[in-house]
Amino acid sequence: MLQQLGVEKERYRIEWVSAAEGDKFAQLVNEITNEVKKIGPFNKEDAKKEA
Amino acid sequence: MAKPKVAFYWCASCGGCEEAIVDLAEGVLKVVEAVDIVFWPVALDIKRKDVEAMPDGSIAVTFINGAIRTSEQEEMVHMLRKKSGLVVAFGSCSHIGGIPALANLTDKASIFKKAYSTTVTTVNPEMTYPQESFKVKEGTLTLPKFYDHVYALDEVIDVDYYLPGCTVPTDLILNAVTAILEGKLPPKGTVLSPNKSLCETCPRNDSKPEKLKITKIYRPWEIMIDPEKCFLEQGLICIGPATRTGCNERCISANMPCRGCMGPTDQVTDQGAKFLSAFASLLDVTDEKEIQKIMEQVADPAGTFYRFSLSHSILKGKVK
Amino acid sequence: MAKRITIDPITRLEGHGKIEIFLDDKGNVENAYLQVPELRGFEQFCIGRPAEELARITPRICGVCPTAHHMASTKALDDLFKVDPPPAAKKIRELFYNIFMLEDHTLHFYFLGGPDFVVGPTAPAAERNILGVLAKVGLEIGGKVIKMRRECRELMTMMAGKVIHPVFGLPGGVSKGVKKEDAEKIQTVAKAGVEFAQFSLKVFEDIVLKNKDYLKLIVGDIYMNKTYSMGMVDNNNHVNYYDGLVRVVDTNGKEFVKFKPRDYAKVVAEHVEPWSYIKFLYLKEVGWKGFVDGQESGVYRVAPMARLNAADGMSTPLAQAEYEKLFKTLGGKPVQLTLATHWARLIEALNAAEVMLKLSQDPEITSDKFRTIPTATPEEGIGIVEAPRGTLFHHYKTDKNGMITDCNLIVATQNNSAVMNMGIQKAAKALIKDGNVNEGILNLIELTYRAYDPCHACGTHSLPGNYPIEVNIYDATKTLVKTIKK
Repeated sequence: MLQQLGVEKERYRIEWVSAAEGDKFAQLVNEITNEVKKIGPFNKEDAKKEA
Repeated sequence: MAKPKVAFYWCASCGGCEEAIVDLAEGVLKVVEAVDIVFWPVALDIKRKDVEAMPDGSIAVTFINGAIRTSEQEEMVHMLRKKSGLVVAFGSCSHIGGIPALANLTDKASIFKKAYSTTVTTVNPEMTYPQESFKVKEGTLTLPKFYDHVYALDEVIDVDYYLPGCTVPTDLILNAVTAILEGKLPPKGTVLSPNKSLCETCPRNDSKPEKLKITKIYRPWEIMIDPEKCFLEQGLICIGPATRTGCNERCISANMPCRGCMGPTDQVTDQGAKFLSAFASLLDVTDEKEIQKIMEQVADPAGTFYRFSLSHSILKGKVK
Repeated sequence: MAKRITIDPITRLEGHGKIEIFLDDKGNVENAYLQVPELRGFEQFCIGRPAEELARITPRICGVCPTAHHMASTKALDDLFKVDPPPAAKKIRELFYNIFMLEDHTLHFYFLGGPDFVVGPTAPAAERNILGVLAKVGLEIGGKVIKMRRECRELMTMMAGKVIHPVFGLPGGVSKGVKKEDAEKIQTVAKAGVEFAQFSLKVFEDIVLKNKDYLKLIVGDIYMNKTYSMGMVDNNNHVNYYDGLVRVVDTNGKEFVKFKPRDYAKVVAEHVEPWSYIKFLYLKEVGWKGFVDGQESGVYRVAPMARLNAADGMSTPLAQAEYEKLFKTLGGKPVQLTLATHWARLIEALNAAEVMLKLSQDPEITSDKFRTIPTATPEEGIGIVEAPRGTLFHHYKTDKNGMITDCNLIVATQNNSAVMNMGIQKAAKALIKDGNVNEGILNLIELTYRAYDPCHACGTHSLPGNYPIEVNIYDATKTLVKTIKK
């Protein structure tokens, strides 16, 4: 569904992290933050301007 | 006392909402006696200029159906907003985008290319496309601009009430009109249909097991559909859990599952996401491979879970 | 001094439209254009959808004739999945479809196109609406019209869940059968329908045909175009709305081609103009020669009069008698008189009522065998029906999983879009001379497109009797010279 909506794979993940795995969690969050930053924001142009 | 003035207008629409009003049949005569219809392009020969000339706020209620697809539609609804005391978004398209909003999964360029070039029977080697302004021998002809996105009405103007459905059920229309005429309206922004999900009023609810467990998904053409059992229990996608009731389960009574035209209940922002989460909770699988297998059986999740509601979803369509 | 007349919006039809009329220096009409300012993009956004869902998505093309789309789509799905529905399913679908034809046609006559005739095209605008019709035919009849429409629509709701956007069509059959008590209800309404259609034809005869002025208008040259005619026919070359082959006759009434749905793309093609969002259909073999009449022009017409031209007769006895009467009165086949389509429409309504009665009495209609599950791999499917407004084509291509990869939709009124332009040009040229324009003349021009029953009908509410169209006449310096208001 997300693919149909144009959301790139790099923007989401499913991971299993327990409350005791603090380091793992921090690492994951940093990783995905960097990946999303690399892709940049959704390119939402003004649809009413010249298409 | 002068009768309140009422107007009807249509944007990117199919005309079904106009028919819904006509389907009040004998009931509409009572309505007509009580109001003065001052603008209804499909039926009356009143022109845009005449509405422009009306004093601001002089129309008591304007019912607008259809989604916003072109510049002309946007201009008209802005104008009608100025002239009207209340504006009611009538039908799925103006409420949440409707079927025309499925175009938000594609774009203007693709639509034009398909319609005017690549469809099987179109013969257009010169690649002539409709133009907003075109000089013919005698003068210049104009067409409204086709936007790259389909908007629900409240994305463009301030909307007072919503009448949901594709098209709006007759009794909801009558209730709304009565409430307006009697001045007994709920708070601004209310969707004028009960705030419950379809499952609560569905006639198949009683036969539903305590806990639904789905192990396989079928397409409607693949199986004989049991006319008594819950569709989800039969493995057929039914958007009932994420859809507002009030339609009298018309599709269910024809032995076909719900596709969500009434939009979500008040508590839900994004109908498609809501359905996805409700659906996921019904799956009787824990193994990741099994989950993958079932999800692959779901054909066109975005176009099915958001069949009518793309304009009101969080992403509003395919992000560019 | 060049002048320009704009009629915006055109009214009492489904959809948006405007007419631009250009005058030359002498004040005679140089050209006229009927522009359609809307597009939604179904052919593109249906791609990626599951094929069977198109039977629920495509009806949203039109809320007046959603049944036509639902049926064309369902038949395209049969073809796509290579599945033959059981006989009961076909009968149920055809019964449903004829109820729809009866309802839609009689509604149009009384509420939309009818006023131009029953009351008169040059009658005061204030009377040219349903109220004027009621004044002419009486309130009792008016009540019958509303009741007929409501009862037909209740039957459709009973059969297919919703009357606006039905849902019961599936590849291989329908989702719901017809119970014995439902069949009996349908029979009762069908009998009333036959009587009502006959009565409507009598109304047309008394009020229209026996009126010399109206008759002159119908048989005159202003509302005449020489085109090919297209319509669906059964094995006996009788008009059929639900199924059959599509037949085209030429400007002399001779059969030009008869084709299977599979071959439609060899016969018709679509032309694009930069000044309208609608496309213009034409016969491929003859070619697009522009907005011109004649045997050498690929322009063709659909809908009631064209269907009667393209067929050899009607499938039911009462309608057949009326069919023969029409052609006898109007000088034989083919009838190229645009306004005659109002008469043909009522003959079709009678035919639909007779078919509705016959099918609802058929013992197989209550069978519980109304679905066959498809087993073949889907690939490509084409479904054609006759919508009230003309031949409707649905063409789908899918992948192995039945997901739409391509979609082509030719919607009834599109077949007439070229001749509608031509009709307006001709009427405008004939009626506007030396710069003389008044509201009566504008009315007569609008008569042309309304005859084609552009999709929508208004209903049972009272019209205020105002006909506020404003015509602005500008000279070459764009200075406002004159304003005519209704």
